[in-house]
Amino acid sequence: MIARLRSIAASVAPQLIVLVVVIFVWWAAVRVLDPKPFIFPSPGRVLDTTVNDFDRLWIGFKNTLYASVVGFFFATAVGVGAALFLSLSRMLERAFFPWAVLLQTVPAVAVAPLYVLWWGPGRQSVMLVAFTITLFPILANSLAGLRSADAALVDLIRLRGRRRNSWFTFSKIRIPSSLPYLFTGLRISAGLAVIGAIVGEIVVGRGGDEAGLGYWVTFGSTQLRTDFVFAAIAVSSALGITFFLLVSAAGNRVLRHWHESARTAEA
Amino acid sequence: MGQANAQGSGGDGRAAPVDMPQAGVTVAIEGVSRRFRTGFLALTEVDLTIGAGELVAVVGPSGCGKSTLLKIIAGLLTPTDGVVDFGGDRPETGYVFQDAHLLPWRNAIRNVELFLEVDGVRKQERRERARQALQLVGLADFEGSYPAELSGGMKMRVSLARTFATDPQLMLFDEPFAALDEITRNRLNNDLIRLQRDRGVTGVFVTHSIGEAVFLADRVAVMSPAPGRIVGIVDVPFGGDRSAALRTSAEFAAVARDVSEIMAAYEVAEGQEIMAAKE
Ligand SMILES: Nc1ncnc2c1ncn2[C@@H]1O[C@H](COP(=O)(O)OP(=O)(O)OP(=O)(O)O)[C@@H](O)[C@H]1O
Ligand SMILES: [Mg+2]
Repeated sequence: MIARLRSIAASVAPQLIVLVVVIFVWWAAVRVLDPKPFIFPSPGRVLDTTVNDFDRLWIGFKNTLYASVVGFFFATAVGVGAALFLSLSRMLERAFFPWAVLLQTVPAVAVAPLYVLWWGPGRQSVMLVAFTITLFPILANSLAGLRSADAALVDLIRLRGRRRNSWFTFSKIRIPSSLPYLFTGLRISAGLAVIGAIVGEIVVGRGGDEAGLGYWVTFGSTQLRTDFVFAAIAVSSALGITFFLLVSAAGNRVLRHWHESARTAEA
Repeated sequence: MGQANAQGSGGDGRAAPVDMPQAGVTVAIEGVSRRFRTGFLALTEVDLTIGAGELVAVVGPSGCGKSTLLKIIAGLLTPTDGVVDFGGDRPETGYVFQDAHLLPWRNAIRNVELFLEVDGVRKQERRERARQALQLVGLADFEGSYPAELSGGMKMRVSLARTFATDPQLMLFDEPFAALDEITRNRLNNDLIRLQRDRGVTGVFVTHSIGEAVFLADRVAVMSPAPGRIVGIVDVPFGGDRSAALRTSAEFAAVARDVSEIMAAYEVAEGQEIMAAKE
């Protein structure tokens, strides 16, 4: 247990040192150059604001968390479902996958106003932006994963009377083969989900109970409260990183016996 | 299939299908040709009859259609012409490739269980048979190891065990040991010959190594360059008992020479054709 804590400490220490150095440079620069606080606040000031405006940030945190998690889970369900469907035949993949690639090229900021138009300026629209932005990495990676199954082994199972698309082949070979790819997609999407939710909140612009971190960023900048904008951005990043780390940890856990990389990371 | 045959059970009451002799099957390949969709003719008029319990090695230059022939025998590819006749139903067939093709997330014994799982064998019997098969290939102590923890030769043994656990009547080998070093390869050859002979399984063994072919087989079939056909069959008169000393004997060398002479004749003939075509 102690050894384990020590190894965790050893692995995060370099990152923490960088953080401390960056904050120190920021502090020193503001000290020396003395910009107006609404142009560039000092770290101390941002920290004060975080504490004083904790209630607002907490509401924002909860709303953004909720929207990104819901968007992420829907994207996972739809993305994995679609990937399973497209993996049934080359024909289906050829017909639909190129259109799915379009998803990736649609800018989330551009579709957000449409969502607001169709579904109103509420939570659904925010979630939908998070959903849209996270769908493609999940779909593309799980499809690649399902395709990565050992074809010779699938042939050997075919010889024993189970078809390529049989439940046996899916459950014992193709789905397990796809897991490392799926988790790569989920990791990418975890960070994107938070970005999507924030973009959605900025466009939707709904405050009060529904205020997310994106809303607070806009709010802070219209009021020239740059320290508050900084605080909201910092909370957003913390949220994105936490989400990413949670998904990574879940992946390592599931893949413990799968992938050498996951296994050595555990050792 | 997979039914333990009663003969030789000796009344010890042990349900031990994997180390019981199993009658092999006769394979009659008659006039088999295969043209691919690209128009490429890979096999032409292949005739070969393999007796029950016989092991035939197939050698030939790269690209001559050896793997294609095995796939046709296995039923993974259909011939464009000709038939493969087993004198009855398609037999329980084991197929081993150059790579082990194991599932990385399953340990050795769970990998060996895979085909039994496909066949719907119950869990307890599955375990039992997989354990025996691992014992057979000398990996009893490694049943809990994952493929990433096993050497190349050990992975190949797991792959063999996985196939033997299904009690095949016919074994198809597609250069199964080609990726291994010579020492490991010889050792696996010794093991294989023991397993094959003990159980009386019919086998087709594709290899690039003439030495391996002569050591293992009852007959060696030599194929011509593409479009592949069988241009010579060499009998290997050493019976069933092959010791490591055989490899260095003069008789062994003589048989190996016969095989290489047939191969060389076709390489030369091919070369001359090309020369002739150029003129
Ligand atoms: N699906 C396919 N479509 C078209 N041509 C094919 C196909 N599969 C194999 N071939 C061609 O058929 C020929 C025989 O292939 P095969 O794999 O049977 O050769 P091989 O004797 O096993 O060679 P090697 O010793 O290198 O494994 C090759 O020239 C190959 O290019
Ligand atoms: Mg081949």
